[in-house]
Amino acid sequence: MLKMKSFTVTEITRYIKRILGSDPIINQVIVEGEISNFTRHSSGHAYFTLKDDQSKLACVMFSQYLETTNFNVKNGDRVHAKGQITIYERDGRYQLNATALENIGLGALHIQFEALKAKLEMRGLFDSHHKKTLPTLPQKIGIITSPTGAAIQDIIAVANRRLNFSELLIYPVRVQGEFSKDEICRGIAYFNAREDIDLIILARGGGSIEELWSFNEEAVAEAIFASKIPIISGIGHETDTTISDFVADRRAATPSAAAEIAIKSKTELTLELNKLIQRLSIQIRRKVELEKSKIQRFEPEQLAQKITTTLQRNVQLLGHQEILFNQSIDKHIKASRERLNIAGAKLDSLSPFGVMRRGYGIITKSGLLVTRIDQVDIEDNLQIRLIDGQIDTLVKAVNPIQS
Amino acid sequence: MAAKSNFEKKMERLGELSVLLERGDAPLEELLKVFEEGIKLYRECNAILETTESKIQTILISEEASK
Repeated sequence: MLKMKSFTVTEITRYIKRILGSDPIINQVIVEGEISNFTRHSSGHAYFTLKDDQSKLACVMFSQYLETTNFNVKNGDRVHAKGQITIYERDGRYQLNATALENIGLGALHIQFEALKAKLEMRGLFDSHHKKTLPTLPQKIGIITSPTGAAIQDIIAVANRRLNFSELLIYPVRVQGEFSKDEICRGIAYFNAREDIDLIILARGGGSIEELWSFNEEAVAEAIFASKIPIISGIGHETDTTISDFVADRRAATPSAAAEIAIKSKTELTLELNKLIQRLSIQIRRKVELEKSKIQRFEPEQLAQKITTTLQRNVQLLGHQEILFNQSIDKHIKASRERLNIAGAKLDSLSPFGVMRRGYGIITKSGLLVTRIDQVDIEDNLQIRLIDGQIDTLVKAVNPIQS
Repeated sequence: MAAKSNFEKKMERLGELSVLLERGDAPLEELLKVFEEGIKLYRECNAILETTESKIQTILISEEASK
């Protein structure tokens, strides 16, 4: 062997590449398989694996070809991929550089998934009225997951971050493979048999549909449905959906999210509790103050004060009335006086004295009023009454007025 | 495996008591009793909070298998 010429890694890789490149089949080939691990890079290129039940083939599809694909490529699609097998020198790996994809239907597992989903949905296993309410403050949480997986690490990380209030009980199971489903079912049954578990979390990290398959098993779905304890599912990444997620009482996108929902922070709870008791204290104090103020109205001091005030008010009222009364009397007197004056003046104008004051006199003969000359003879004694006295006269002549 | 944990029930009751007091239409003696119950619940909840340690425990399969 030492006599043979040695190649560098690069040389041998390039040699393989050249041989492959000269093969007409390898240069232009159509491969049938199921798409999995489909990821689209930020550059727009897509990377995925084509597989069947025995083998896998790494594939890359550059963005310009992907854009010409007439369907939305996703995991589980069964496709005909056309392209060239090439060597990726840096990694020493071969891959299919796909230039065209044709959708030839869903993969077998996807068909199975859809069939079971439809069946269980028909039976009402997903109905919202079967969903149990989650306890908001679970003290003991049963966790069914792999003791070595990423999921349990994520859950414990959330628990530690929260100064958590809950006790976590981990029921270790295999989360993939042939024994997995029975272990999961046993875990659910185990926690239900205990009397002290408030909540169950069923968790697993992300994976392909094959890797997550245990959570798509009918037996697991039945076990979740039969559980008397509420179950939160936190399986895979946001985009992974399993039958278990549909049956669970609450679906969390990831194991961490499930833990966030389930595990309460001790600090938050303490705050909440203190707020409650503060509210209670304020309310009882207010109530007591209210009752006190009711009693205070009947205390002697308060009563005396009240009476004084009333009295003062009445006195004031009385004073006011008096003023009003006096004013009204004054007005009355004034008015009467005025009326009297008017009456007096009127009387005055009608009195003969008034006329006499203006220079008229009253003539009488032997006490009888003389108004005409035929009542008078020469030598008669006539009395003329003026305002300030009487004149006795003797008539010298009587001359009628010639009209 | 109660749907609501003991602690949660106590917290809920505290909330109810608060509503009772807030309404305040009951006689004072009754409200004082409500308050007393509240204080008692508060002490119990506080005790639970203080004594509950975050515990993580893995169940041994043998325990399960022995069933």
